[in-house]
Amino acid sequence: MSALKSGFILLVEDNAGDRMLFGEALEFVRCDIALHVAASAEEALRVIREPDPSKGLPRLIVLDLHMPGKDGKAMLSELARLPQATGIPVMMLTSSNRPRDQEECLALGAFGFRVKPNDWVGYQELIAYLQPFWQGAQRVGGA
Amino acid sequence: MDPDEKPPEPHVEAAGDDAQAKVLLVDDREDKLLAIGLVLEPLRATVITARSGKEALRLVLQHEFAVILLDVSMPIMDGFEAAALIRQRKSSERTPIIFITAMSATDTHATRGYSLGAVDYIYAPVLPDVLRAKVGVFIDLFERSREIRRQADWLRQEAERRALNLETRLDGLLNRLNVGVFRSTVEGQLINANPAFRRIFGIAASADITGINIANLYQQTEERSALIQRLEREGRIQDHHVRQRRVDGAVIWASLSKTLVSETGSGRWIDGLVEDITTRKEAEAALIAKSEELARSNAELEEFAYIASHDLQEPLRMVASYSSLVADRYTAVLDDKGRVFLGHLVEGAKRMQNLVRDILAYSKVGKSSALQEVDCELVIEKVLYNLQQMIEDCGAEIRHVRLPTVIGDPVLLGQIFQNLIGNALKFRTKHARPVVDITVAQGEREWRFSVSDNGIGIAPEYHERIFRVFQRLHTASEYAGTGIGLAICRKAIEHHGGTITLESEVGKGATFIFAIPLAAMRAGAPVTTSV
Repeated sequence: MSALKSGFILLVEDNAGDRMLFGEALEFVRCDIALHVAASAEEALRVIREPDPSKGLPRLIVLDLHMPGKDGKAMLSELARLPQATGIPVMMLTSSNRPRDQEECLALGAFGFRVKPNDWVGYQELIAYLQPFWQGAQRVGGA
Repeated sequence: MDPDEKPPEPHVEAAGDDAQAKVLLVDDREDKLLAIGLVLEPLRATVITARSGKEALRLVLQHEFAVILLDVSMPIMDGFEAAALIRQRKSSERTPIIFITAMSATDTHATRGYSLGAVDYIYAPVLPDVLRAKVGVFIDLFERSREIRRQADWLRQEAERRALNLETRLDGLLNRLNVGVFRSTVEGQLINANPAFRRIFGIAASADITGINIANLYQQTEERSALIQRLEREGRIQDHHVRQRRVDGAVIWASLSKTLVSETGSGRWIDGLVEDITTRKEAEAALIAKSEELARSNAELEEFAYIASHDLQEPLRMVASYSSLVADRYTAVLDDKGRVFLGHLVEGAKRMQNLVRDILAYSKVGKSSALQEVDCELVIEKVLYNLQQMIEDCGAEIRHVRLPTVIGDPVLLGQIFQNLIGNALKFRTKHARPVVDITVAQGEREWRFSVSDNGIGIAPEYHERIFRVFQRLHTASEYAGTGIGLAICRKAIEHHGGTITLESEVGKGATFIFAIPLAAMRAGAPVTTSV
């Protein structure tokens, strides 16, 4: 499974607490994939526009909706214009469960929409839920 | 009506209604007077006799006669002379005259008699039947015309009496009325106005009303022009609300009604009613402002609750997530007390999360929801699925009749049933298997649903309180919950335009009854039909 070594999850999240919980859960579930965290949409877009040759592009983007500066929806719009981002699934992760937010994000090209977990067990479940996405992306990318 | 107009001059002699008609018999010979008098006796008439033309003239001034019988050949003044003089008297110018003349008299007599206004001729010797018949005709004529005159008099008097009566009443009304009544020309010049009109516009009682043009009593003169154009088109205007200006400059709200009146010969007028509705308008405006303010502050409050609880969720998630992470990973390194403390931390965070979730749900009730056709069978099916675990855990039996399709919000209806059934199960007794019965009855204007249980029941003094936010009757350790469920129910039902009530006693179970209108009643909640 050496192919799994290449590629990574890009987590775009302004809340340090959430970033750390996500990382802890990823580690706890023993997923063999790297995590790159970006504290803002601007930072995340740089990772995609100017990828580190040693790391390549992310297999999955997990994107927070509410962020200071450029928010999740703005980032979705920009990703749609970036050729490099083509084929990378974007999963929204947010504390909002407003149907309108969901619809808008899906219309802007998000692959899915998850409400942020309320506790530690919830984070473990989230990682289990996300797993097929980066694995599937790897298959698509490898084809 | 001209008050100076008087009834016509009374006749020479007040002919009483019942008085018999009078016949004047003029002859210089007593025997003839007697004879003719006897002939006329059977008639309904009083016979008055005169022995000369002079006496006849005097009597004509005193009485009104149905007919005059005049002997042509009399000394001093003959019948023709007398007739000529009688005709000159105004009171007798139309009284029929019958000449009595000798058979031997020539036609010239007759010609002369007719030219003097005779109606008829009778030749002596008189034939009694002919005379009686002729005089009878005139008496009859007299009586009839007298009757007609009498009726005409009565009608005229009655009409005058009624008109006067009406005028008095109308004047009284107009003076006492709070509604201004006026008449003006089409151009706006006032012709007359009642006291209320003066009061409304602050016009002194002594001021000449005809010096005022109504257009100047409008706040915007153009408004009158527009109104007159409409009046020309439609003929009348009813209860038109407009800003008017008193003569002292104060602006008032008035309700105007106007009619365009055309009178042949006298031109066109505007008859109008004006009512000062300033107080009413101000009260209405105050009421509208108040309810708008209330709606705004309610909306603000709900927005606040929504945002506050939404923003509370973020840090709370941190507390809950990290405390549960610590509990999961570091229990081993804590001593017993530390583990208890951590347990309280985890538990407290969880309860806080439930509270915030429920406040959010409460503040969201009715937001962005459109009423539509909802099959309650599908709603209850989903609710029972959600509650499946709880139902199995307590071995409850949930029974329901066939539920109807209503006009409502499917999400809210689900919340209503889920909260009510959830409560019924939560507040069960220890000694009996929980049974929940859901029934429905169609009223004239609403569906009446009921959810009854055989649980612990609720004391009557709490029946109102339990529908308010955060009202709990038990400690969290007895029965878990945030105390918002029933508040959400009530708000959701009220959003549908319905009501919820409770019938219960301690130890006797509880029945919640809620009504959902058959047709959507809430204004601004559009009904959409969905499959």
